[in-house]
Amino acid sequence: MIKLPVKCPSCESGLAVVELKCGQCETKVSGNFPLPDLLQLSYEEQQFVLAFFLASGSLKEMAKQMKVSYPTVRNYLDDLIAKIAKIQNYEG
Amino acid sequence: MKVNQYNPFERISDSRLLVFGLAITVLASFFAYCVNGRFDGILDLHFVEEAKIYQPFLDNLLNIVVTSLLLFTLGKILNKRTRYIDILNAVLLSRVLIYLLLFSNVNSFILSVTDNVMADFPNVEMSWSLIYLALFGIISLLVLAIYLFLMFLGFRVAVNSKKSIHILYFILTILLSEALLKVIFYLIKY
Repeated sequence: MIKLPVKCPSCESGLAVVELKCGQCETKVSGNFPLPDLLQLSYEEQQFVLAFFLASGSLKEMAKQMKVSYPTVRNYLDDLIAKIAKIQNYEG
Repeated sequence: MKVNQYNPFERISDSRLLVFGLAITVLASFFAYCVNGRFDGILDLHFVEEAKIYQPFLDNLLNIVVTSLLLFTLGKILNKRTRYIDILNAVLLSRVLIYLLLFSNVNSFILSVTDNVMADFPNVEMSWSLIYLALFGIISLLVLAIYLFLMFLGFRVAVNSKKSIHILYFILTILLSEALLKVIFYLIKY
């Protein structure tokens, strides 16, 4: 699976979308669209957020599925929340 | 998500850790009674001439409750999401290391070795008893270090600790717990 790059491989800054294309008629839209907050997370982190959503927000269920302890899952979520807050503060 | 496969507190569910921790505490308390061991402090293990059956159980209860409550208070200050069960598991599981030292007094071995050395005091000469006692001292220090390291691993997971200053807070809390337990044991001699 092709992963969406979210950071510049050269300087590590956040990337932005400058062109979108219609898959049907090939119309292109150019501009400077910042990536949504969640898309600025790494692929693995996005998968975690998706799993959290699909588990109805149950960390206990996620811990069971991932075969790790409850505080491990909760700590990872706390770290993601801090990361998203940092992204939002940076944008704001 | 990076998970340290060697850290049981990251991998194993809290309920399993709790059941194992409680079971090992009960078994070790009974074994301590059999080999006349007393845990009169969170960092202590002493052997006496004759331990009563309730003494090691009460020792462990006091040690575990006082230390886990103090560490839980520290955990709550550092991270308000800290849960008591995670701290309790860290204390229960890490004490397995201390319990291993109980094997040194099977057949009153270490107690008789100590008596042999003390009988010659202060003119102690090189003997097997002295070598055994020195070895026991070195092993005890190593076990103590691993015991505290394991407890910190559990504390770190419970609190989501990432700052190195937290190690200092942890050590200070353990020392406070030891001092408090010494006072408690002194006041309620049993």
